[in-house]
Amino acid sequence: MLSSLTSKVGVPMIAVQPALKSVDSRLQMDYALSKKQITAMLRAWSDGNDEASEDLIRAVYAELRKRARYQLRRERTDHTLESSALINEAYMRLIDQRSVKWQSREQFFALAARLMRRILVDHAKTRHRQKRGGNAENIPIDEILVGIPASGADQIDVIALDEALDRLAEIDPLQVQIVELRYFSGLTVEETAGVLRISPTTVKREWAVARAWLKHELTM
Amino acid sequence: MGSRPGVAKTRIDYVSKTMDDNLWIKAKELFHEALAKPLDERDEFLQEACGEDHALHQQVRELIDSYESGFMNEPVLEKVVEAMSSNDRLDESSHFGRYRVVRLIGSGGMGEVYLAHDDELDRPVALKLLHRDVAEDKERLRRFIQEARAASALNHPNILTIYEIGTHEGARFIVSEYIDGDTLRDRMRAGITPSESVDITCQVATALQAAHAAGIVHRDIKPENIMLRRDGLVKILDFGLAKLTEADDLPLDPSAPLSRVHTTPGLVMGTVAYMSPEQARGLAVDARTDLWSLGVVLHEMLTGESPFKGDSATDLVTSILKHDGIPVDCETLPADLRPICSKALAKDQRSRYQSAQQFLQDLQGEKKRMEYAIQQPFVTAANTDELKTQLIRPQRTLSAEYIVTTVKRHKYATLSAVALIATAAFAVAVYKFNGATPSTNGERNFAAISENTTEKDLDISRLPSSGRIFKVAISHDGKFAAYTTGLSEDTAGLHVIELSAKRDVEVVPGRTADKRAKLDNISFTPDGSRVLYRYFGWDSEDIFSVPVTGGPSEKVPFAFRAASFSPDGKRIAFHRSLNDEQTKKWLGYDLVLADPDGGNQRVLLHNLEGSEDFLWLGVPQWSDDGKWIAAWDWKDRSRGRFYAINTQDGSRQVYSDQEFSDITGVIWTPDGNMIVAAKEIGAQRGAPAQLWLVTKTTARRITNDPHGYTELSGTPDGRVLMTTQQIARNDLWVMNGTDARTASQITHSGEVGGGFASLPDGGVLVVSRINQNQSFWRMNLDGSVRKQLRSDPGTNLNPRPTRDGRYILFSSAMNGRDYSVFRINSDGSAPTQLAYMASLIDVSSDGRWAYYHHLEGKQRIISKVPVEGGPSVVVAKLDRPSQRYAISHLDGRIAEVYASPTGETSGGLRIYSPDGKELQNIPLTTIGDGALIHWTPDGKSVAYVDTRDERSNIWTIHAGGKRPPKRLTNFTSPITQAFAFSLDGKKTFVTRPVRTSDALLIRSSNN
Repeated sequence: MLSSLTSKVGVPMIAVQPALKSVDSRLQMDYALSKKQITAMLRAWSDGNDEASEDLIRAVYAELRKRARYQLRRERTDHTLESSALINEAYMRLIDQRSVKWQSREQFFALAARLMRRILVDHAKTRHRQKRGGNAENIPIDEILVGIPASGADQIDVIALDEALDRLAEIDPLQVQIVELRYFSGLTVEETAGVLRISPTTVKREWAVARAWLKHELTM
Repeated sequence: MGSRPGVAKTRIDYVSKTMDDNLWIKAKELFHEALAKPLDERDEFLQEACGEDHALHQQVRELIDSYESGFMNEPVLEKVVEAMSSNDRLDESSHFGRYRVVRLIGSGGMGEVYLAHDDELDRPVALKLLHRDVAEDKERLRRFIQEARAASALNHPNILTIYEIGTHEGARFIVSEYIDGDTLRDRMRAGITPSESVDITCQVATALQAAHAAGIVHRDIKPENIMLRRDGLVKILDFGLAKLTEADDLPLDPSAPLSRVHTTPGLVMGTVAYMSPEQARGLAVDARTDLWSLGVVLHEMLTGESPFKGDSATDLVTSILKHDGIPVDCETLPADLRPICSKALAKDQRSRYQSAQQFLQDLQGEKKRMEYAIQQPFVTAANTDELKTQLIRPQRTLSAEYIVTTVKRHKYATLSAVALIATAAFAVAVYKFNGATPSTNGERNFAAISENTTEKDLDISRLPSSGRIFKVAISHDGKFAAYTTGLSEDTAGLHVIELSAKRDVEVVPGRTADKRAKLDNISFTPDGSRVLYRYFGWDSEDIFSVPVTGGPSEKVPFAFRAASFSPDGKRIAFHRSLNDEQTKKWLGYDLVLADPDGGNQRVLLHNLEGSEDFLWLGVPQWSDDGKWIAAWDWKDRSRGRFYAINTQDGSRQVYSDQEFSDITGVIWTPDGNMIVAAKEIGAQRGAPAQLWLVTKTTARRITNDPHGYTELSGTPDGRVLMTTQQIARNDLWVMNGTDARTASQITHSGEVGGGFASLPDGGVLVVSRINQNQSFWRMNLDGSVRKQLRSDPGTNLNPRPTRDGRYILFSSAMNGRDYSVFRINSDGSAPTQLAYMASLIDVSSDGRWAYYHHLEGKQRIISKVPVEGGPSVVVAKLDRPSQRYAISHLDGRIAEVYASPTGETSGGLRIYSPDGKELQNIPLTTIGDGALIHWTPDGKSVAYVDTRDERSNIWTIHAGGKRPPKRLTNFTSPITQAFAFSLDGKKTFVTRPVRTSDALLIRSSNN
């Protein structure tokens, strides 16, 4: 339990963007922000090229987390996780839909997907630090959470994947977005197409290439 | 995948290689082209395509190999969700010193708060863990501790008592009394009355009075720091905590810059909104600062919004500093309270209330006045749209005439009698509906339905309701019925109705949409005095009990999820969730039996989801003799058989071999059989669930009703059965332009079934569906002057009048299974078939051509046929078959709705030239599968219904595809389904299907 406390501090949420670093340690004043305020932040963000504000990320993260906890606690007689529903509900609860443009919703999905990738990577790093005391590398996705190594070729080293995605971003940023939406957030091809405002065919094509490229990167 | 030596180097090489844009683009192209080839032709293709470029060849080859490995073909969303929810929390049931963590109950900027149990003193406590960065400044921490202790030492009923402040394994924590209730923020979201607001403010002022007298200033009064116990007592939290974030040296100069706002880390808007002007300037604060903040809170409680507005912390501060008296636009503030708010919110400290006592005096005077005032009925201002929806009530009651299957030799047998006297029973049911409640005569003796019961004794009635009843339960003696009702299941409140007295009490109020929690799993205590229910919110899941006459709810501390008492009241059965310790993931549940006080617990079933012997049971249903509990298994999460679980040893006995789906209820008959609400496996898609009698060897349907049944509750003696019934209704509305506020209802029968169309004479044509017949009606837009044009067995769809008023065209399956295009005269006469095995799309605006589509192989052929009759002409051949098309009156372009190939709900639109060339493909994530589309009256855009965020509206998208979609209507509920524009383009028609769910009581009196 001590270990779970230590992780509370200093976990870099989104390492690429300094503004996001301390999300986890000081998050969750979400209820203190009104829909209007969050909506304004989202609008500001999607209007310009600025980074998403810390408050916005914090609010989105907190809401996603709340939703996620609720999803997990639900009885599973009929449900499986539905990511578009997860993100959509977060969007509905946070954003005042009457006062945002059509694109804001898509921006929101993209932001949420980016966050989901970060969450998994940071979680992997934290778990790893706790386990081995420092050097965070090569943690298969199935191991970081359930504690048992998955068998076969399907293990994916989440930190290596993250690094590979950073490299891919230099070649083809669109593909990275597709991976975030499809793989980390579980959106369907059509949903992804809607968010990125490209055709489903393009999503399918780019998704195929991205997967192939990443596989190559991670297994060489 | 372990670590691989040398990997890093190779990766770098690879990246630099791929940085060659041309190579990468070429490789991508070839990759796709190769994938499109059959397996055995790929090598050859690559050889040819790459020629001597070995690097390219190798790269494409590698891409293909990687792709085929199935890598990353499953999303990891579930892992992400687990990561989000398991991250850095104290685990449930873990120990923190002498405190056992029960669950997380909240989190704020400074740390998380848990409900914990003090094992030493055996009491519930709130355990707050401070974030490290908050707790790292030793001096500040010391001051905070000093002040928190001092406040707690006041021992004031409105101030949270702190038990312990300490450090455990390096983590700072505060242990305080546990408040079972809501924060004021939560309560404000749910709605709060002026008198409640004044009462709460009084209690806070009382506490501040005591604190200020001891020299303690709170500094951070806001709705999040005010808790309301279930009994109404107010508690202020976090005295002194603001010291932790406050700057060290507070300047005294009033013209100092806004240092605090800009420099204090972690300062958030929620706090800024309640800051006094002196606080915002970073000046020293005193008691009057708390009174300002309390004034802001009062204003917000009364008007729903803060007196100060701004989209950023800086804006907000500017608003606070610029502020000069209460804003003029606050008509929402009750006039009598304006002077009080105004005085609390005086910018100059000297003009403000000087002490909490002064503030309190004014408030108490106002409170007294309000207590004498006559209470006005309080109407929550739902928008007109919602109100109208709620007013739609079913006009017909239980469709008793459909109950046909006979059940012989059983106590519920005479349900079958209804079949024999269908008309009479229907009349009885209607009568009872008007009479509202069933046993208006308390002297009548009700008996278990038996072989001797005759139709005269059968009593089927519907509880009066808004049509949104979700869960039902009947008390053991049949005198009380409980049900949940509200706009949605997540906001429903709990009602108890005393059936003989028709007295209906809302014992647990409903919630607002942003404070959702499920209230379900309801059952009565055996003596009928209380109702057990589950309250399942974001952060909690508990069983409560509430008196049937209303009153405070009490938690049943040992029970979870679903609980019910045995008929003799000696045992209680409940579920206990099994969760993965690390991920919190729900794994299944234990079915536990215990004494009514929670003692003597015994696990009857250990149910792990996914295991072979997993059983599901909802609220445990005990047999009359208390020996069995009913349950069902859940194979592939879709179908189940029923079982009786022995309450002595947990052994199980299967009931009949029949498998069911959509099981929502099971109850026992006195002779040891079950009645269940479920669908049979293989039932038609969309067929409603029925009631079945299930014995150890047989299963037999006892209702056959077009409306479904869900939920079941029964008295142990089998005399009264309670269930819910769903009825779908669809009516037509019209509005001016696209303004939902002008919407008026045209039809009220609920039977709009085959479409509708604007008529050239200004009226509207409606195709209604009653039983197996479909009828054309012409009526005025206010629903008057109804005239039936014709009625046919089978299905008529999509009527389109010609603009000259001579004909009406439509699709019909009246001549068999296949749709054909028909023409009738505008008076309904002379049906003429124009095209066979085809569906009508539209009529050209000159009235000469009827466009239709049909399938030919895999191609969808769009053709046109002269309305006066004659040979068809092919217009376009489309490769991807869809179901929904629209033709532009402007230029003949064809719009097509497509669903995603994987069958998910999202799809999009394709626009074709008049001869079938694809012009645009517009993915629309929110368009429904098979959604209805129309070109807008100007012929430039395509309109469709988009359901998102619990609202259905008509949206348009420009057919050029370049502009974002535009919302036309402003409905705020999710029920718009089909639509059409009037011929002159000035009105819009919509249908709004409504599903009602009502509670039914079925019983028999024994004369």
